[in-house]
Amino acid sequence: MRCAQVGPLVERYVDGALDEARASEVAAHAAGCGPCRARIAAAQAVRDALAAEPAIRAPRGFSARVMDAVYREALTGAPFGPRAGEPIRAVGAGRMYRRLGLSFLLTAGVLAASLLIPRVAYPSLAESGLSQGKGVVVRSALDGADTAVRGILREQGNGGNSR
Amino acid sequence: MTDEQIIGRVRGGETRMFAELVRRHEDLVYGMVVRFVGRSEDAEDIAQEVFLRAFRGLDGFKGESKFSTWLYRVTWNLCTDWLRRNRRPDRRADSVDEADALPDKRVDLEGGVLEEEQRVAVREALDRLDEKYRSVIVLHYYQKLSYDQIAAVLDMPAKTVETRLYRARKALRESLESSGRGGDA
Repeated sequence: MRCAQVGPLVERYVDGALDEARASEVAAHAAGCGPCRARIAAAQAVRDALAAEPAIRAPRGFSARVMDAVYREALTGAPFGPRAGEPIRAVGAGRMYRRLGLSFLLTAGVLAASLLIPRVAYPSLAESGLSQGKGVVVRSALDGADTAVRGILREQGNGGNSR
Repeated sequence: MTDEQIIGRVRGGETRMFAELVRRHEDLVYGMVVRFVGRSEDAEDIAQEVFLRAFRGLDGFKGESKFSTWLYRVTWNLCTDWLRRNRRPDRRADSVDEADALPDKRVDLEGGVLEEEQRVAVREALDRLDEKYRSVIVLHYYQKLSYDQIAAVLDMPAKTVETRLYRARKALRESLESSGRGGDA
């Protein structure tokens, strides 16, 4: 066996992955060849260094931060859209705030409609004598809607224009 | 409780159970991300995104492979995507610092110091390797994956994994030999 033949076999030799006959040939050659002994020693050093590499640990609090993100996503109704393995896109925050903004606008729209429609649809009723002390039921309904809207806006952290 | 049992409960609506999966696999996922992209600020974002993708994709997990293997595949996809967009020559310099900062019981004797120097030399040589060789080395030696697991993660035959590993180690050895740090024989 020549040095050029030993070269490609060195890593398998140090792993004990060669068949017995081949391993004996390598050993016999290396016994009389300094450079090939050095190759074998280098291959052992590489293997040992790789095997001894210490593990890397996740930073403290990592799992809690992941779960925060999971809950945020679950609560904001993110669809089970992008599947595992798809290319990475903008991470989390931007998308989340867009979703929050959309859901807030929808909520605000529905509430505003519930507040305005009675006044627009029945202006005569709202401005009639009923609203000036005689229509207690209608006024209560309109005031109740106002209060409900402000309460919900306050709860959403909007600050509302609470009185 | 196995990963698969936990997945069943998460699918059944117990979102909090997903935390257990994260705790079980966070070191492996984060470690792999750091090995591939370096200890940048992005490393935690990517690792976090891995788990978010996993959470979203749990319905698509059919159990054909181990959950950890599937998770590795997600991690690999995100890392390669990140590397494509952020490739720069010094991208992994920090990962060496990261590993250096870890407590290491081996470095307490003179021989241990030499051993540590050898490890640093190997890491530096590894950083210069082509990505296709570096990936199999990281997955096999640093992440302790079997040939079959690596084959599933990288979507290639196990025989190719083995061949690449040997070629990668040969390239590392030759790199160390040419720098005069190839061993003491």
